[in-house]
Amino acid sequence: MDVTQPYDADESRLCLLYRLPVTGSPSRLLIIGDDLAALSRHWAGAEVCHAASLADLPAEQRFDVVAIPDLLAPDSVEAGSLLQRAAAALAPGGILVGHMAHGLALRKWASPGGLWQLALSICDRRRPSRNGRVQAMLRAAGLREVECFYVSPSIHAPMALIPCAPVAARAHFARALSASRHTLPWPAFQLRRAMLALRSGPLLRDALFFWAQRPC
Amino acid sequence: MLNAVIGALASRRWFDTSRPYEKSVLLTRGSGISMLLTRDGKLDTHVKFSESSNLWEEAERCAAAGLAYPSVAARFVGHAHQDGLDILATQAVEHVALSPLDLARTDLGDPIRRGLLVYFTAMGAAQAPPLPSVVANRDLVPSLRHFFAGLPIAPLALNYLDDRLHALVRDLPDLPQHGDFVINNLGLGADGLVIFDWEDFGRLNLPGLDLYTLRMSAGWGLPAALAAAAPSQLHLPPLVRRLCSVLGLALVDFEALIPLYLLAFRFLKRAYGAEVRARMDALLSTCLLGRSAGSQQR
Repeated sequence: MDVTQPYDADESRLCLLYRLPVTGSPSRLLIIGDDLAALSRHWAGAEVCHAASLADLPAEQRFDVVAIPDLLAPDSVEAGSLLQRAAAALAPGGILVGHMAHGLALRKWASPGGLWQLALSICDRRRPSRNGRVQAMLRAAGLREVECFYVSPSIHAPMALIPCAPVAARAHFARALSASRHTLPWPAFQLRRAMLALRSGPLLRDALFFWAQRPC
Repeated sequence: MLNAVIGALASRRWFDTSRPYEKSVLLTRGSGISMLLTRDGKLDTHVKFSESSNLWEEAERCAAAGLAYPSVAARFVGHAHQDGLDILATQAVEHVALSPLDLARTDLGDPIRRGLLVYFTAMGAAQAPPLPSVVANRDLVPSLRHFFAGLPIAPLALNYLDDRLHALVRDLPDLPQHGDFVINNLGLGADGLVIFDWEDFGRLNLPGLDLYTLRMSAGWGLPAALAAAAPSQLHLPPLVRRLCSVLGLALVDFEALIPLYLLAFRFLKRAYGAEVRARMDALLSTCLLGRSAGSQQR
């Protein structure tokens, strides 16, 4: 890694996102799943544990940070209980941080069965398809200081976290659209303008990034 | 990390966290991270922070720019070091990004052109920040010689950076340059032109450097100027001519110094990624070879 450009690589920026909600140097970190193996290299001095799934959580152990990269599926009806188990592994004051696919992302609609999944996502409140539900599930898991963002342009090459609050998300989208008005092809620009007018810009976001803290 | 930054802003009363606000995080491919703080979606404060870079110099430059150009530079809020993070806060300004088409308008009274005239007019009285890394014109050519001596384009660069050029440049007035005066760093705000990204402000003081980088980024006659064995003023658009006049820079000198502007820009961008550096070196080679061939023909 070029020490003068530590965030040059896409994966380095994703790992940076995972460190954003954490203040100071955590001593114990748990990474669930193997989607982001590089994350362990970015926590100098911390004891890093890995678990393949929530079923393999080390018993009775508590962690300062629990990272759940891409562990939740937007169409999973078990998301709430998964989050509760992840939250239970946190020490008081610990941070749960993770990302997941955005269940309402426009790109998913075109996939086989995408519209069916979308319909399920909208109708079934147990599915964490959108930011509001993810935040509600994190709170239901006993966590506080809950925050959820859209990731732009993609979780694999992140360049920005965009607030999910509708007014702020729309303002961000309007600014980004304005900045790209001379570089986007005309049809793509007009499509985005229409989406801005219809307040549906978040449908272009493929991923959600979230974190929350266990009360002390 | 974010809580430490927000705590630093709140404790210094740079940003009121008792009222509702939203935050966006903007990543770069370099070493800095930016956070935009908004209220109901409206921009309020821009915060740059880093765990690996010291932002003190950049803060000095932003503060100096705010003093020199209060109507076009964002207000400097403060600089702090806390919890292993270097933090730089400035006012965030709502704006519309500019394009070459915006600059191509002919109306000299429009806000963009008016802002450019304000900027280039005020340059004569602007003070560079008092930093050791400032390169005065009397030291510019020796500094560039030293820098380019270690690069693959050294033969071409050193051939151009000769004593005759040094004699010309050392007598030019020192005018602090923005250093990255490209169109992406300009915007149109409610009160007119807004200029961003002052992290290189005053590092170089070569008259015409900002005008050339603006011209280059706007694509005004660049290929023709690069290929020109004999520099010609005919490629210059009216706005560039007007701004040269504001700077007291003869058009023929502005055109003649193009290779130096490119070398100076490459010097400022030495910390950019390898791909960008390679692209700039290729551009420089084309330019220096063209000028060298032109000199031999003459």
